[in-house]
This record gives sequence, structure tokens and C-alpha cells, in this order.
Amino acid sequence: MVLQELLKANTIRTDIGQLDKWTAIERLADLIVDSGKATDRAALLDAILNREKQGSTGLGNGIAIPHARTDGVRDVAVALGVSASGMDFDSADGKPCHLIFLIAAPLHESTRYLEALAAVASLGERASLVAQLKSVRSVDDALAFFKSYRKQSE
Amino acid sequence: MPAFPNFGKTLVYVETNERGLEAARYAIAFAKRSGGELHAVAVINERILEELTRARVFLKEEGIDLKRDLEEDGRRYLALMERLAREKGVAVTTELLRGVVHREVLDKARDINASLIILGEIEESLSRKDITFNESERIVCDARCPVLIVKGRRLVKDFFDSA
Repeated sequence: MVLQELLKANTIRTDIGQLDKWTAIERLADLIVDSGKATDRAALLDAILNREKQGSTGLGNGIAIPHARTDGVRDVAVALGVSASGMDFDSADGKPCHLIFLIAAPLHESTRYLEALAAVASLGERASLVAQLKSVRSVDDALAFFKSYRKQSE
Repeated sequence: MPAFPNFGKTLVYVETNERGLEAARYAIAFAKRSGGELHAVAVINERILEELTRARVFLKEEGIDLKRDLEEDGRRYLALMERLAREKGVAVTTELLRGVVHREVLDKARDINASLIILGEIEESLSRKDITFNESERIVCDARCPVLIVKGRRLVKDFFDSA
């Protein structure tokens, strides 16, 4: 499963609090940088921020997917930030965002990039799973959620 | 070389990833042994692109760019399949299709009257309900002919190398 494979303990934060969306994006981009998947922090951040400026990636239902393809990463990378209190992400439904999935992929990784985006979008369609994930308070709980995700959603 | 039944026409679905290449290698070696006719398709998953655009994940431009790149990927993998087939002296007809993956593969299988479909290993999808519902699972369920799932990198390598 693509999210279980791409999300690692060092690319998840369950305590990002109530940041503004630009700071949240920067924090998550730094998780990817620290995980070793980025080759160029500035290029990664520029690509994600430029995309976000063209239109909010706050899908509604408490989920946002800031994303971009950029050669600032060497591989498809996903970082997750969980905010219990929620933050303003200019979401489609106007509601606070609790789960921010930052997804970046090299320019040549079209298929895997599409799969990762589709996986998060699918999760966003199921309110019960979003509620479950936004209530996790530790990285281990988040990893356990993705491990058991398929079983829960059947 | 052990005798293989001639399955007639075989269709291999080449995903644009390592699983797709394993399926391609196996299908080539299988065609070499069986002497059957080999067809290969890659499919641009337009359904996911449309759903992500509808869900506002993509801006219109992003969807267009990504579709163009997915088409390049598809052509590249099919070209690689053709090269591998040439190396083994196997003729293959390739085609890049667009649409809902399982429908495109099954329609092609019906159109060419395939008596076998070969797929790469099926990756676990997020859930049975989501938009990334595994297209290969749907092919297995809905196919009207036998379907062969290729597993085991080492076995595939040996099977291909010895063909």
C-alpha cells in the first residue's frame, strides 16, 4: 500500500499544532529534507509553495495535500502533519484542516506520484477514517493506523 | 526446452513500474516457448486523473502535464518491452490505451480474442472501495479467459533468461 510504504516514522508529526499553512508546509518539507529524500530544500519548498499559491490544496473534510513534482527530491516522498486543534488551509469547505499530507516527487515519477495523491484523496473521502487519523497522538499510532487501514475500510 | 501448450493469443498488461516489466519479461518468455501470438498494452489511467481534478487536488494544467508524462512513461515501457521481445526473437504488438484500466484491458482481450491475460503481481490497494481500487484485481475478477499473475523476481529472471 503506497502510503504505508512511503510514510516513515521520521516523516510524521502528530503535534504540529495551530500553524499558518505556509509554516506548516515548511515544517513538513523539512521532515522530507531531514529524512534524506530531498536533494535541494529550496527547490522542494519553492515547488510546493508555488503550487499552493495557484490554488489551495485544502480539499475539505479536514485534509490538505500540498504537492508538487520537483527535482528537489530524489524519490517520491510523503510527510504527514496532524493538528488536533486544526488550522486554516483555505479549504474548499471552509473548515479547519487537521491532516496535512505533503507529497513531492521527482519529475520522472509520474505514476507513483499519481498513486500517492490518489491514495490520500481516497482517505479524505471517508470521514470515519479521517476522524480516526486526526485523533492519533503519537507517530506509532499513526503508523499503526496505516498498517491496519485496509482492514478498517473494508 | 520443455513443451508449452499454445494458448493462442496472449495479452500482457504492462504497468509502468517494475511489476509491469516482470509481467512483460514473463510474457515474452512464455510466447517464445508456446509459439503463441503476443500482444501488450499499457493504459493511461484517465479515471484517476479525472477524479483528482474533480476533487480539486489538481489544477487543470497539472492534470494535463501529468497526463502527458504518463503517456511518455507508457510509450517508454512499451518500447522497452519491444526491445526485450526482439532480443528473444518474439514478435509483439504493442498499444497505448487510455481510459479505465480494467475496462481497456478486458475490451482489448475480447477484441483480439485472447485466450490468456498476463498481469504483474497485484499490489495491495488502500481499500476495496477507494479510487485506487486495484485495477488488476478487477481484471482477474471480470476476465472471460484464464489470467496468469506473475510473481517471483528470481523465477521470472530464470524463465526469461532461459527462453
